[in-house]
Amino acid sequence: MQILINGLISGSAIALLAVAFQAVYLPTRVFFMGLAGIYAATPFIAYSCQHHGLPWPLSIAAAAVAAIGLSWLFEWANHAPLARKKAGEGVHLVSSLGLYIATVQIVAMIWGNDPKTLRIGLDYVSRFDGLVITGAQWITFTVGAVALSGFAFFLRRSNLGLRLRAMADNPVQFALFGYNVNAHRYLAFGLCGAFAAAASLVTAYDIGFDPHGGLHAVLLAVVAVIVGGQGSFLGPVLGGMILGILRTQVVWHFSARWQEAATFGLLAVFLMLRPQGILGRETRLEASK
Amino acid sequence: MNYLLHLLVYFDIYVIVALSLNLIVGYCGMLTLAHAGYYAIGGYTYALLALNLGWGFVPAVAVAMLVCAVLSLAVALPSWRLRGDFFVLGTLAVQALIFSAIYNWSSPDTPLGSWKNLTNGPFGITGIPRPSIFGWTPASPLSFTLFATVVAGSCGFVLWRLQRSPWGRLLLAIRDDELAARGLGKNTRFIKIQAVAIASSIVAVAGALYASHVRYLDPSSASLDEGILVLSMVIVGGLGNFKGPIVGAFVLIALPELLRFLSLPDTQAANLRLLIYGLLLVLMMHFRPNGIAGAYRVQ
Amino acid sequence: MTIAAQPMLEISARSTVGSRVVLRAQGLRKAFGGQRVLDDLDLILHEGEVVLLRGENGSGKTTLLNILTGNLEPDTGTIEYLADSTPRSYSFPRRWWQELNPFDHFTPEFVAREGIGRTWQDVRLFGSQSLRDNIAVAKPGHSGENPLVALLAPARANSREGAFNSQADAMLARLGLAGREQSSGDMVSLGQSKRVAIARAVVAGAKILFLDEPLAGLDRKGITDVLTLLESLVREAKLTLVIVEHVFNFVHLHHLVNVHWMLESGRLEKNHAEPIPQIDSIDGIPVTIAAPSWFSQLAGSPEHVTSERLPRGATLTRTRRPDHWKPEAKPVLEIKGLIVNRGARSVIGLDEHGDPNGFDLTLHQGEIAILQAPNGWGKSTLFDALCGNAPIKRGTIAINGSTVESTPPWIRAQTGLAASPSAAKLFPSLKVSEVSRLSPHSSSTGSIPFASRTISSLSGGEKQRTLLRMALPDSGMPQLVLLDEPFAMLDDIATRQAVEAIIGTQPHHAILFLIPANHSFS
Repeated sequence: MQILINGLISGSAIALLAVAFQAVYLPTRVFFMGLAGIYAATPFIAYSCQHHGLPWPLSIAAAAVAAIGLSWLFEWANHAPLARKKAGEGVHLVSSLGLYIATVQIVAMIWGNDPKTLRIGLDYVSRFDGLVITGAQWITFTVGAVALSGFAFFLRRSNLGLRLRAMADNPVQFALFGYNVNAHRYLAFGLCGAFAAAASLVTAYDIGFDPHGGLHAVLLAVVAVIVGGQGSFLGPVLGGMILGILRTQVVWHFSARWQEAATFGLLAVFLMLRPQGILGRETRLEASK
Repeated sequence: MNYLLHLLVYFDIYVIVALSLNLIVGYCGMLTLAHAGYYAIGGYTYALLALNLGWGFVPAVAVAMLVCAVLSLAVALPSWRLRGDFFVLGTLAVQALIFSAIYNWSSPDTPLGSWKNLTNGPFGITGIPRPSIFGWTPASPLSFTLFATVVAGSCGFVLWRLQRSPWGRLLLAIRDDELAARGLGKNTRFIKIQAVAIASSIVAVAGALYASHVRYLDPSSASLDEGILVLSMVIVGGLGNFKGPIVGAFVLIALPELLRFLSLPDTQAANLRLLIYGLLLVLMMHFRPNGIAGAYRVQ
Repeated sequence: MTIAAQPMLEISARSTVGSRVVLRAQGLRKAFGGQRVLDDLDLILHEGEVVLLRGENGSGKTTLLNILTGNLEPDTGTIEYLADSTPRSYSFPRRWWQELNPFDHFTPEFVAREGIGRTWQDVRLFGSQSLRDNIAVAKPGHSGENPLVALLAPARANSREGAFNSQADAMLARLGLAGREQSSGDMVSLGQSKRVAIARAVVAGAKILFLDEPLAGLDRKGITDVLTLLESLVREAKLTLVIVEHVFNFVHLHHLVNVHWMLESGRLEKNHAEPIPQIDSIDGIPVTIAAPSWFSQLAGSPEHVTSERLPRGATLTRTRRPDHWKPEAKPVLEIKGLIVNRGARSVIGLDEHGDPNGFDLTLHQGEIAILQAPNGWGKSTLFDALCGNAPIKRGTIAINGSTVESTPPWIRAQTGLAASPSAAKLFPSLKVSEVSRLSPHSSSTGSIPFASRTISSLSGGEKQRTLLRMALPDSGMPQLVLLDEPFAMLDDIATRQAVEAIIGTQPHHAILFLIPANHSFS
């Protein structure tokens, strides 16, 4: 039970980042590796604010604003111009990788390569019935639950959410209905930045952070996307939970060192056998007719 | 002088890596991030055979090539089903699995190279012997450089001849339009397996050369950063012809040397080098999608 | 026509009965998402037959072509390939263990090795290679395609290579492309590239050649050249042909075809005697294109109908709603000197000789225009250019007086463009009511049919009707209503209802239909 709960909670952090990835991927079809740079940079902003004596709500707000700003910067400077040129998906992917590398190196040059933590002192622990839940886990769980259900509500109920889904379905028709696709791309990138900040900050609070952890976190998120269903905004939440549970189970039954093998083994199985994911509709990934 | 020779050896190694990667990315149109993994497998295979069994360079490299060729199916087979971003993701998974295997295949109490401790995990392998080629060992920096240049030259020759052959032409046809090539009766899947196997076995040579030059190997040579770096190299240099990847390898070597003039501290210099590499990738995609000297652009 | 008459008569007169069977298929069925396309279809193809595969749009011609060439697996049935000395037969559904045998797959490459070739409507030459390499690469059994031979025995590969290259050059010379060996595939004209594609398939060993709209998009010269090539291939190489072609080009195939297959409700009717529908023609080019049957419903009194011929077989028919026709006001749509490229070639704005001289069109308030054009003419390219999804090379487009050619689609929509694309994709995962909320045009209250169903669960016709409902502006400023094949998925009754809905829109809109050229045969 303890393991299941640990899995679900670490899964919700993966799910947050997976939703961030989907928020860009579905409406724009950009495989946004720059997300890894945002994920890596955000906690450093909060860290610096904290060390300059800002209260924690302000530090977190500043970090979130920085994450969203960085996401918009990437769109404005890179993906939007490439999209205007109708560049292929590989071009977006490669340039996005370049942005990731550049961001991480800048972060490392400013703050150094060493791991850091946002938390000062020991975490408090609550116990029920033999279950142990740390304060950081509570935070992760709460942020995950609020942000994900809020996003679900936004998608289902609000006009803006409807537009985001419509753009994901058929951007051409969406534009013909008179909606500014470029503006809605900024909405997508902004949401992505916000979710990336949430995922990054809860993880940084729980286990610390360094400049180089972003790519690995985004890879986990993308695995969650594939497992949950790459055609849906919220399928990845399920994928994130499954992945979180799998990874904690692997640690419990074998060893932490086999986490990666299990994760990417799972990815390989899904890519080959069910590429549309658990919740996905039957769509053809392959280009050959 | 020795330093220049050392650079030249690095250049030789990267030329092999870049040219072989070009065969997959530039000639098959398959964007792979797993190539560094095969580079590392080649290095580890050579290191273990040379260190534990005392094998010479030629037989050890031959086995390394064979191992990489067989394992390259992990990249070639997914290409039957996956396209675009999802193929790249598949190669990322392969890369992560290779790294994880090298990083974790260790056990503290057993000797290096045994079944339980094949790679010595994060500590890596030290004391890898210099290459012995039928009894001759290039011990001096000059002779090792000559040796490395000859090896790189022969790998380059093999790839050059293959790319200019009817086989290379068929690869280009498949890259341009696989379905049309299949409609002409071409077994495109098999040809792609061949190309990926050839490229992976040739990069194994580069890995072995690196292992015998530096005489130390750790899992970082199979890391994702390394995979991105070698991919950047061919994208910056150029894809789809012979000179592009060589230019890319040259840029990768020349860049840190130019940064020396800034006399930054070592860690900052390393960061700056990668930063420039990242920005180069972005700028290339915008302003020169064919790379500096390439004939094919990422789609 | 420059083709000599004598051999053509021989082909037409030759009886195919009794000659060798080269392809036989039985009981083919194929369904897409519950919609049956092929239903227990049988066919037999004899050596030397030239078949014209006919059928309505959407009747499954392309599906059948894809199945017979190994690009698509049928649900059930058997196919026997008997063209070369080693016959091979497939029966479907295939068992999973059959896929484990590397020498027995149902894929394009295996089918191609049975002597089946195909060409594509969009040609698909290998773009980065010269014309010579495009043909030489097709040659089967090249030892140089084995990397070991290429590496270790280059002399052996090279001698083959020399022979293949000179054969390729000879082939190119025969196509009238001598001296163009080093040109790349997109540097030659469309007609030339289509002939290279045919030659490539023949060099690859095709004994049966499936041609997907081989004449689409070609000018007179191009059509003549392709026909000459096909003619000589049938005569000299005893090639068997199966041609899918648009009705508009039937007249050109008249002399070549000796068997007709009609694909109707999933089955084939084979007919040797059925004449090609005769179209009033002068020198092979039809003079009139019949207006679609729903046209009379749209048109007011006949004196308001005008019809004009456009280059390359298109017709523009206009009618107007007399009380709302305002030629003095700013035109709703004004296109001047428009040239649009698809790839490296110009598609829109060509004159009869294929020279780019610009496309002009002006529509005023209250005007309805129907542009009927054959496939390959560039209807969808024109649609994309008007919507802002295809870059234009030259010319201006103005909607309600403001130039829009450099604006994105949503600005055009706000300026007064209500466009409805042909493939009724809409938003597959949204509910109909949500699409209605999204649409700028469906402000009218009242119940929406299928409101709570998702778009992907609708049938083609339901989707088409939903799209029309969402795309037709019902009020406000004059709009350009642009409809690309709006009735493709609808039956007669639904079409009539849809036309009524269109008539029911504000009469000051200008409406432009883009539909395939149509002929009435009865």
